[in-house]
Amino acid sequence: MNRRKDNLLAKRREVSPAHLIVSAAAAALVLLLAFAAYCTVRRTAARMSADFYYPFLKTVRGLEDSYADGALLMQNRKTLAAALVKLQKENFELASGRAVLQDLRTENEMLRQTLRLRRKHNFVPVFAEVLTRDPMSWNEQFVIDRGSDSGISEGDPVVTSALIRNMSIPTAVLIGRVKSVSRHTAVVSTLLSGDCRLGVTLAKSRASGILEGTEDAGTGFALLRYLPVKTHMEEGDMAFTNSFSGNNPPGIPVGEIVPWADGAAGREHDHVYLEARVHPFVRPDAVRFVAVYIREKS
Amino acid sequence: MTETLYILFFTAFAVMLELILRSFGLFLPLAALFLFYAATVFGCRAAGAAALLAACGLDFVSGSPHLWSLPAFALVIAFSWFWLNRVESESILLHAVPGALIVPLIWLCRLPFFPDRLLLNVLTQLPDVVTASVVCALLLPLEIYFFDTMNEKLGVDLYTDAKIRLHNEL
Repeated sequence: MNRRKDNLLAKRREVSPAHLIVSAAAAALVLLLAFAAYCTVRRTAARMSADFYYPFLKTVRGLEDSYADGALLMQNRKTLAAALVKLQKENFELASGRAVLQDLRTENEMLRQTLRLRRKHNFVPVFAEVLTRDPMSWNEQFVIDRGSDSGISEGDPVVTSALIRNMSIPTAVLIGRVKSVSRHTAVVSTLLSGDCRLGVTLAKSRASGILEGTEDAGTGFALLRYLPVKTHMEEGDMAFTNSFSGNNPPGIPVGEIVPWADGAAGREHDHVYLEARVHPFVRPDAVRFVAVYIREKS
Repeated sequence: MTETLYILFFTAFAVMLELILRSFGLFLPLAALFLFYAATVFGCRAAGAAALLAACGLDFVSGSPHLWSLPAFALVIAFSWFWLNRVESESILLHAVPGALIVPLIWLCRLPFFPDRLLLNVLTQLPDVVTASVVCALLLPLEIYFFDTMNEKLGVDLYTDAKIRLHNEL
């Protein structure tokens, strides 16, 4: 009896190479299938989770806004009246500027039609509020309360209103791009995130490059790369979006050039291109209300 | 059925509260505290399922591409098993110790998944972690007392009876 057991054990210990290869191949296949299933389930789970918690988070934001409005009403009447007058003046200036722009837009479309040029995409803003952030990635991304139901899709540019330089009225400033979308929410990668890349052009030299977040978002700078080597740059040069990719409305301010530690505005990289540091006009952690530019449906 | 609904509801509730606090910049792992409780009362399997739900809620809603919190929650469940099986004392007040330890455990497990700003995260969040540890040291005993009071009325197992159930099984 013991001999039979010993023989059986000895047979089990003798594993043939073919058996090993088949086992390894089966294990690899199982891992591959598990990975594929995880990738598929992950996206669905992400969207479902985001949409499930959306009403609760939105309710909290709504309460916060209500309390903020209530606190506003407790202010002095003179202060409120002065703020109202200031907003009415800004509104009037913006409306006047918009009328001029609308006229230019109509003329541009007529000329493009006459020259038989391809029609440019028009962009429409969808207004949203920041819903939640993760303290671990406070400067790199945040979640807004609008999603695919509002027409938002991945890659759409996200802007906020800010006063830049010596302007008297606020202007739309780019702060990031949409990274992922669910029905009611969207994750926005800011300019300081490595996930956000977009084409920008410098105002003075008209040189174009790619703007992307640095490895350490805590520095507060983004990197502008692939500028031509002979580009002349100065501190304070403004960068704005261009229309090369067709994904962004052109002309939206992004940031300004900040010199490197040695004082130079640009730094050569492998003698192939120049790179520069860009300080975004708006700090991502200070943003509360945003607008997402989506393509106008023709 | 009651236990399933109980776990689902309070997991979702804890995740929702934690998300709200996170959006204000506060780090307080309420979901992990509930998982510690649930693992002791309902067992590791039920707690594991709750951990998966909690990780989906916390990570995906915050915009993370993967479930970075899942390994941390697995460690919390393992810690609850250790506390139940290896620690002799049955005092609820002594649960201030695991309450305080859960916070740095969760934080340290999440840090490696954000390598780009590791040093900055450590320097800026360490004071918050210390504060959160003190708060959770008070919260966990209160949570056990509150849930056990409610469980008694619902006819669900109690945390304080977990050791008795363990001895009976052995």
